[in-house]
Amino acid sequence: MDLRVNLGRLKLKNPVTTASGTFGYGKEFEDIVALDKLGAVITKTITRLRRPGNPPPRLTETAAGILNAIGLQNEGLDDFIKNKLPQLKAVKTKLIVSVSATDEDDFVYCVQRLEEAGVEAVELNLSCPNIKYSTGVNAGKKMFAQDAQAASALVAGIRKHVKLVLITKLSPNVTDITQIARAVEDAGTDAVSLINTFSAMAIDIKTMRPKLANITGGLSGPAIKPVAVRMVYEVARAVKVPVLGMGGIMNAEDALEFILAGATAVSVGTANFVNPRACPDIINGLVSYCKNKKISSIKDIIGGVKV
Amino acid sequence: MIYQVKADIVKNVRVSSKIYRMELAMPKISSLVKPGQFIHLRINNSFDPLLRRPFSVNKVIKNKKGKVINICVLYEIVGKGTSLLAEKCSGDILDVLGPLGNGFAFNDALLKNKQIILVAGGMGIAPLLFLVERLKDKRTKNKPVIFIGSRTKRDLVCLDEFKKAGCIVKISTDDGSLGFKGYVSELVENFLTNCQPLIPNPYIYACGPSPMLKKVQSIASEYNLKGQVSLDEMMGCGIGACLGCVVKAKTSGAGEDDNQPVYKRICKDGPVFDIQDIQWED
Repeated sequence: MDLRVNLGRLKLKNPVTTASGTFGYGKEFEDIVALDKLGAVITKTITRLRRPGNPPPRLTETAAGILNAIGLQNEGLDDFIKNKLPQLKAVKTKLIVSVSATDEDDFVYCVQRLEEAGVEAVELNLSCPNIKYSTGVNAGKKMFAQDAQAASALVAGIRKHVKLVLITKLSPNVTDITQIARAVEDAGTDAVSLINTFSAMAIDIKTMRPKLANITGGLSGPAIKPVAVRMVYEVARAVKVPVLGMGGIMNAEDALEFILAGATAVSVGTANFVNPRACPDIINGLVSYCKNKKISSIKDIIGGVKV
Repeated sequence: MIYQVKADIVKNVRVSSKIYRMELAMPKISSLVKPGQFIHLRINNSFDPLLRRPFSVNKVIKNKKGKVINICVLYEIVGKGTSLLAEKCSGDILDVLGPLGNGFAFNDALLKNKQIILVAGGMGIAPLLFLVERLKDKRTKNKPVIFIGSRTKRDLVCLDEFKKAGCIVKISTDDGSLGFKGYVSELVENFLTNCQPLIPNPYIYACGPSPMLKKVQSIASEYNLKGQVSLDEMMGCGIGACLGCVVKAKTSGAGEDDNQPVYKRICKDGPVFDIQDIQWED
């Protein structure tokens, strides 16, 4: 049974990775999950400087989903490289560092520093619904991933400076996600990952206030899965670079839907909160499925949906 | 060490109109758990409710050999998750994650010559019972005094158990149906005002709703008392990864070169904090 897949130049032992922001820096889960069994660990997003994050409440539950507005709380790039990276590099799996910024200079600075520190792959988080980019005509209004031109210029600007694997994370909060995917492909990204959360809102009718202090947040979980599968299907047909698919994957069956829709690898997010063992359970489920279906390599079914 | 286990429900008993106590068999977690720590329960295998629910440990149960094997949690029906939990029967199985969080500090050096004062608001009594059970062995100078506040007489539970554990129990109810009519924080303040010179070195453990903990913090400041508080919040992962359940912490000034707020994780940095660590909002 061969579960190996290639996310561009990044060779994974299996297609199961941890969605950014749902798995901390891996350490939080090590009592329960053997990290070296994972296809890759994708970290919580790092920014150049420390970010305190949004005021609470930051998280609320909705039907088959959760709504969050954490606000990219993290201790900053220096702290990450000094205090978190060494432990992560010691784990015998691939590491993908999620990174975000509000302008190109900070993005380039972070990605270059990570490359110098020996990081092999980064996920460019252009699509956090709680962060807007800060330069140009749409400053403060849009995410990079909502503007094909801005996203393309950003990815090209980063590409010029680094050789490491670039995975660009896209937002579902757009009219045509394939347009953005093509733009970042042309700009030189090695892969695209999708989808980030949906901008959403919940209201407490007792207090008549929004349930989140940030008013709106990002919706994730099983509630968004069918939309995510559709977007992965569309993007996989629109671009040649591999797709890292995600959005409400709870079990192996869900992961297989994404793979059949065209995802080379998948990220598991909200499921980690519900079942911390979700990732290893999904890997085992993929093995069983391949055995039952007599599939020798998982690569054989990527994009294999019969339409 | 954190474990994820399948636990048998031993009992799920209604103890008041909307309050239940559930006993779960989980030897591995039970042998490690400390007062103030919590377990994270998955209510069922469906996706609604999706997230686990955190419950602090109310009591531990030993087998005949004296080994702790079961854990009790106390919960009130407040929403969908707890309603479904109340329908569970003995023999049903729940997916449990634990022990989680940092628990109360109660070592000899800390409590030497101290008068222990416990303050519970509503379901805040849950972790304090487990705490006083463990304090029994401590031989503190005087009996601990526990102040319990609830909306009404009907919602008061665990009173006999606190007495059995050697506590003096003082009660307040919002409607005056038993004990002092008013908030439990007022009762504590009255007690301190009237008895303070007679009670040397009070030390506070408190658990309850945020407005109560905020008031307890200001009382502690006023009377120059030390202590710990346990916070209750909706959680995502429960293990410090998602940063969903944070509370604003006071910043020391020293080492903080900017005015950015500091948010601490209730699940991992807490749920027990030093009484003065929290920056309550106005």
